[in-house]
Amino acid sequence: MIATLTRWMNGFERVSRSVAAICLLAVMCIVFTDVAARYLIRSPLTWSYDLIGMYLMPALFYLALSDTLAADHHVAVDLLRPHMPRWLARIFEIAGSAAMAGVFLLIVQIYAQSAWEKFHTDAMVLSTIQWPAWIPDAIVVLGAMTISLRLTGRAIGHCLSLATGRELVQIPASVEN
Amino acid sequence: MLAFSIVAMLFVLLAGGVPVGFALAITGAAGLSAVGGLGLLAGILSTTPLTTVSSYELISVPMFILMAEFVILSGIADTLFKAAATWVGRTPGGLGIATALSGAGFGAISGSSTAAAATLSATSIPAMIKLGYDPRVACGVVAISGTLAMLIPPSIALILFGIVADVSVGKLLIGGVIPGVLVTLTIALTVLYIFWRQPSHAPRGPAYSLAEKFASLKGVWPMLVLLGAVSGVIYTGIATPTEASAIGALGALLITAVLGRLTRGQLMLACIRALRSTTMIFMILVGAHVFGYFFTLTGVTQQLVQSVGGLHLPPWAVMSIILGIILLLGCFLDQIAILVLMVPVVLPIVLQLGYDPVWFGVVMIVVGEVGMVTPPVGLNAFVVARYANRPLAEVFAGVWPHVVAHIFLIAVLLAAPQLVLWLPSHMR
Repeated sequence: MIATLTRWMNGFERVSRSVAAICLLAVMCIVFTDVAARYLIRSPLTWSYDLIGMYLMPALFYLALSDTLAADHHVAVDLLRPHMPRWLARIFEIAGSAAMAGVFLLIVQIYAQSAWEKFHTDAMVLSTIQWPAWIPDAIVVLGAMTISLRLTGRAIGHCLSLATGRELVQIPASVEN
Repeated sequence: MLAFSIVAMLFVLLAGGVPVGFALAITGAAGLSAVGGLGLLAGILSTTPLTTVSSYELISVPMFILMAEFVILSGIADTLFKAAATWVGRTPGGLGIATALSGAGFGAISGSSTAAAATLSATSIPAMIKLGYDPRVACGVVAISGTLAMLIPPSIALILFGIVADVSVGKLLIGGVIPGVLVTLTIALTVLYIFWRQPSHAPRGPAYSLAEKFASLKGVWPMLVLLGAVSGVIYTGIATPTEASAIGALGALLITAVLGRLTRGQLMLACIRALRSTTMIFMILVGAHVFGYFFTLTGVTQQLVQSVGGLHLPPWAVMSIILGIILLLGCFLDQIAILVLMVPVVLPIVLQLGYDPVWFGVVMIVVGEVGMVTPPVGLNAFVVARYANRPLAEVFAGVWPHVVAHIFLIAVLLAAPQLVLWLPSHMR
């Protein structure tokens, strides 16, 4: 059961980060095209600022957020950790993961409600193009939901490891003893 | 009292190994709940998580990181080191100087100091040790040379300072040029001093003819192209720093492809690595914003500014204390964390003292460079130790002469702010 859930989670994070990678390359190409168009044909892209700021930047952050956590790439101060007993390191993992999952779940609730209201009322951001206003909120919901699940899974895994004494979830690599 | 408790909680979580961005968000959320209840927290969270990452100006962070990933993939750093070694390797300690020069060259096309340290470790340490260099000296010069990428444009640290402090990123980047050159010279002079004191540890590299020297420069063109594509377009006003970052990333991608180093798998890998670094930085920014709201509501910053104003110390003394605190924090905290935690608190004091924010940003990064190599949390020292497979103690032992030299340079920058401000004042 846990293995199946983890597989699903990993698969979803892979797809999610691939979409984020496409957004990253899209930002690069759009900005270059914008500058080139400004000088070569004196006609910059009028929509690039909105598209990148409103959609692509939130997408490349929120869609890669959970994968970054799974890869232990969020920077932490590992000054005391290598000298901590394993049980204490697990308690910090549980506290940090559970509290952060709580913050992200609150974000999910707020943004899901906002996205639904904007979708329902067909709210638009008025610019040179009319942009659907619910999309950025939905991106936040998707990313925050995924990382909440990952954090909750970690907190439960560390609790079970602590209770059973088995290595069900690994403590990040810096903890040696 | 509440502010003190929340800050104490932040430091406990940081010490416990909770990621910096998460620790800031958790403690900020706890503080906001304590100040105004869940309603206030929900109000802040209804905007901050999206507005923090929706800024167009912020794209320079992922773009410069992506550029650094492509630069690593292209192998330009190897070529830079070989070219520098061909020119200066014959002088005593020449490979150490070549490392500083290639660190500056790599820094001019990449804004990531850990990327620079990792790349230089793989290239220059084996070459120096093979020639008979003391491994401590070799590791030390690589660790400190890697930090040049933090200062020489494009510098991700300076961009983050600009975003957090609301200061012109273009002026900050150009302001980093002269100090970058001075730091390079300082590293080279320190190497010469080390070998002047210990001539037996100063092996000379092989001699090259003038024709061979000029031939070595053939491989330097990608660096010059990228230098023009980034710093050139910013300085001349052709593009904003934000746009220059995307131009640089695309340029680095094309150069990697032209050099035959790009496959689909590697392109994906470079993107994933850039995404993860970007996400890590953005998470810290989101957490810092939440924490910043709490700090603003409690009025801690204002109280701090007033109490410093009441000290009746000359500005240079207050500035020395601030830089000393940053230097000390650099020994324990990540540089990005220091930036987002310290800048909102100390910048009002700095402005009150009459210092230019561009100057302060650049000097803060030079101080931050020292933190990158000092124990116990000198990230570049860790990177060098890991990539060169040398003991960490060896790296720390080799880096201290550079730390002393850097502190002298910081004093010079403190005494002569024009060294930082002259070039930005001539920007178009």
